[in-house]
Amino acid sequence: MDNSINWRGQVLDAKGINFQSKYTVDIPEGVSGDYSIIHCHNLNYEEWPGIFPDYVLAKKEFPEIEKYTLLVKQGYSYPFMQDSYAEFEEHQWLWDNASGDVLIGGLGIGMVNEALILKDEVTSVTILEKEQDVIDLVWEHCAKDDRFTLIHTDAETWEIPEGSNWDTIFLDCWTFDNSTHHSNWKTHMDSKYSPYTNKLGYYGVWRGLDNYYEINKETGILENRVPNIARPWF
Amino acid sequence: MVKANFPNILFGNQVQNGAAGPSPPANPVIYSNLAGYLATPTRFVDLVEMASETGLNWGAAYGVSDIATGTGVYGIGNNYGGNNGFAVPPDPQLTTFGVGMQNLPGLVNYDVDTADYMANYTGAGIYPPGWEDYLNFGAYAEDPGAGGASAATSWSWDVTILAQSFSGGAVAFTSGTGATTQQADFAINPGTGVGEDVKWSLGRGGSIIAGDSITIEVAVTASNASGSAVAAVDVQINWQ
Repeated sequence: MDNSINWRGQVLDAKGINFQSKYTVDIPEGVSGDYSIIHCHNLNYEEWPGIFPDYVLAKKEFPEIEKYTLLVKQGYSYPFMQDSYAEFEEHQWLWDNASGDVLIGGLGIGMVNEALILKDEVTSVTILEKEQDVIDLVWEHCAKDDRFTLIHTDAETWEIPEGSNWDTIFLDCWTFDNSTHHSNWKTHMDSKYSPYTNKLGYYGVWRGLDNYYEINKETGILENRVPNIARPWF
Repeated sequence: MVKANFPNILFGNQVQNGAAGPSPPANPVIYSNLAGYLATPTRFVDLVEMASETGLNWGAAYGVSDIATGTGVYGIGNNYGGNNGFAVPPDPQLTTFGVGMQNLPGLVNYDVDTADYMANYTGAGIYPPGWEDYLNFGAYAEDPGAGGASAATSWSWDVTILAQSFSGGAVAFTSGTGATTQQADFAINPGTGVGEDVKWSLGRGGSIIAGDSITIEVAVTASNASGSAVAAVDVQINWQ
């Protein structure tokens, strides 16, 4: 990855692909039931919902990243998903392990589609999503090709078809409205899905030590950084 | 009682606003609380009281030593939210996840065992998913110019997140309004101290991860008609 290009410009990877295209989505604003797709950009910062203004400041992205798409649920201050660079980092396990037949728990805003569709080594992507409202808002508009399949089901209770097997399973379907603590949920999901793959991973629970980048506030340049080490421009 | 100022552990921001009238305030000195300020010979300088919501296992004394004397166990601890006694110091309470503390000039390092912290956070089931842990702080500010021409006439406490590195979508933020009194410890403001606190929830990833950290500044501004001066103590929490 070329790390010497201004973040606001075209950041190209080794294949010449705009880096941001790997995770930014193009989902129109809309409302379905308790769920909404919201666009946040520099011009409507004062209207950003809930905790999201704190989030982008904490992740040190604002104002260098100028637009986000959020999936929010009424009554919750945390967005359920956003196409932030932090989100991209928190999917690092998937980016490193996705190959062959991939099973994804949770459609969200379809962010993983943006990256997986670029991976030739991925032969199929099966996505489980339990909320019809989320499907109605997102599926029509998210990136996909004939390798992608959506199943409307709850990954926690889905009856896995006999004989199923995936090269990679990535579960990102615990949300803030789940009455089960994440640790107990993860124990259940480990037991349920580990028989069907040799590579089972989760959103945000693995912290890679490589491929961490951050915007230099002074230069606007995206730079490689060491996680958890105070940045010189901080 | 030693009341010397230690410029190496404090920083100031004096502002000169003209020759007439009182002198600008001297740099205040932060003590863990009024009792710490009054104590002899131990002063509890450069510390703040700290209270955390999460935690089930309490009882053992814990804290950091006074930076000037290198002795004592003072000034920082955790209290379960149902306990508004906030007996820190001299009797800080221990959560088992607190595995190390170090009092450095202007900075308290607090090392946390991640697995134990998460066991406290979620294992007992008393906190619902989406619940926000929080830290609040108490402190007392000495005015070295008290009684003289540079005496401070107003106070303002402020809590700022200097840095945070969380995984799994977790994010910390400040809430509340800073106290405007010289004494802003838990003795006078049980459960709120300096007024502002720091909250965080676990995010969609559901966990704090080893390597996550947060650095928080607790600052006080002393002001009079001629200017202001600031002192601050930082607290850095490192999940290991």
